[in-house]
Amino acid sequence: SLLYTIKFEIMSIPVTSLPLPHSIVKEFTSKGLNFVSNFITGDRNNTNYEVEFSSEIEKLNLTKYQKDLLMDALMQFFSSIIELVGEPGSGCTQLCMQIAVDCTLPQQFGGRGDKVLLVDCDGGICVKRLTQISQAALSHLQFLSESSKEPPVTNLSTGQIMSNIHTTRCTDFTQLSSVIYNLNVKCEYGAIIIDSIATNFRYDFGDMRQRTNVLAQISNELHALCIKNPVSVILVNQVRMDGKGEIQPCLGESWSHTADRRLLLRRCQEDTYSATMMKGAKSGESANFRISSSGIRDCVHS
Amino acid sequence: MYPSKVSWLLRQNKALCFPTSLPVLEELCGGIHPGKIIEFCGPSAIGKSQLCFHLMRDCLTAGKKCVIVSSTRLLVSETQKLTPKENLSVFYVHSVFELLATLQAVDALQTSMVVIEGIQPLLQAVLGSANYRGQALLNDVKCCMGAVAVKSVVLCTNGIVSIGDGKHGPALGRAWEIVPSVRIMILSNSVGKRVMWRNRERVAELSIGDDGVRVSWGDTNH
Repeated sequence: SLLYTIKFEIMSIPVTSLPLPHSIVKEFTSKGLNFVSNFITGDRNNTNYEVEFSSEIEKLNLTKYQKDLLMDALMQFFSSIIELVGEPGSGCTQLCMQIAVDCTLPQQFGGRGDKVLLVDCDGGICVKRLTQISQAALSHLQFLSESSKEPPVTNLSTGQIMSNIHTTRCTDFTQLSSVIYNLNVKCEYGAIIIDSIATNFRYDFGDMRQRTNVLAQISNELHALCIKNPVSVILVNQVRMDGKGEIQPCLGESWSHTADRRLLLRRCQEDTYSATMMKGAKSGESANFRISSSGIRDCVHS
Repeated sequence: MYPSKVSWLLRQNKALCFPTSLPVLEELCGGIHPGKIIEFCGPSAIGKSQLCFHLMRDCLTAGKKCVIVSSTRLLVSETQKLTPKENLSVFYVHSVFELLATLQAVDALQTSMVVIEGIQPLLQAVLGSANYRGQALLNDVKCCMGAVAVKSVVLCTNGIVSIGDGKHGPALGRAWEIVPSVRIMILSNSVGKRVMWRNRERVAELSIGDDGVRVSWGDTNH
């Protein structure tokens, strides 16, 4: 059942990737609790995972404030809205494709095992690149399963990964609104990735007041979607220069309320990119990554 | 409606009043008691919701009932602090029509405090279009909030928009300006502190810590 799969996936996430402030993460790792499974065991019979998580967290030796933050971080894993902001060429679309492939991987390797919906407004999703990324991910999984003596991944193929990624192309804001509205009616996906929400709203939009209307409606529908289903929403936004010459995300101040967390992507050097958290629990921290032929990978520390 | 004696209304108000732990905020607002609609507006992540939650905690510890109507999912770290749970009701709304239905349902309850969290995306979805449906819905919301405010104090959170020259004003436009009786704008100044303005005159400072929210009188130079 759905609950079983959700519980399984949350056990293996490391504590460093939870949306918690840095001080709390340091405290956890100093005590040796590196994975969520270290402090949450849980029996599979309890259907209300919120109650179960709270009862498990109560047994830990933390202050009340830290326990509440931890509970929030775990709940946010089930559904949240993340916004990726960046200039053109800073890796947003590549990151989206990598996330789409990673979502379809089975749970024991860190994926969700669920279907993914890629809403392509920009036209930047390339099927050949998706095939390349999924082939590289599969070969990485083979390497992992051989080195950890787990049963080999025989029932996964590129074709299966690709059949779990659904794409739809939206050239107009009405098409985008209808896609999101239909998702609210029935959602069978684990993640929804909207590449460039800003494309349909930035150029040649006749009535600016109608634009605010439609954006607010989309924001409402996305929030309703996140509350009712355990689905993660990833939006990609563009940037503009404001009067002082600083870079700001598009679509205005009212749109910045929609996303729970916001990442700013930038291109540092020839093949190094950085992602900085602009809004969220770890605001101000940044991580580097590089984009190679096999997808998004960590930077090699020299 | 039959006219009610003022003494009866005063007794009802007294029964639903509660002491808050933020006396400076009470003085800034001119009193937090039934009959008022108080609006907190400010940019995102500045502490409007935290302030509302702090006041909700005061209401619940005084033993009064409280209702929160929200358009976004509430964080567990905030709702865990709100006890006792049986005096708290949570409603999630995603459109103006749901908001109207919920306000009419809340009117029948005997609550001391109603918090409407995130009213901006709900109303911005209908305002500003060529037909005047948005204005009619805003009037409906105003009437419903007024009906609820007769018996309880209503708090709502709003966002801000830029009105040119780098200045900011409350969102939702001119038609919304008449709805709240008190409007508190929270901005962050050049130093990084959170400053609360009322009518662009009275100034207080907001600080948020682990244990809660503190409001103090700030100095006028910033």
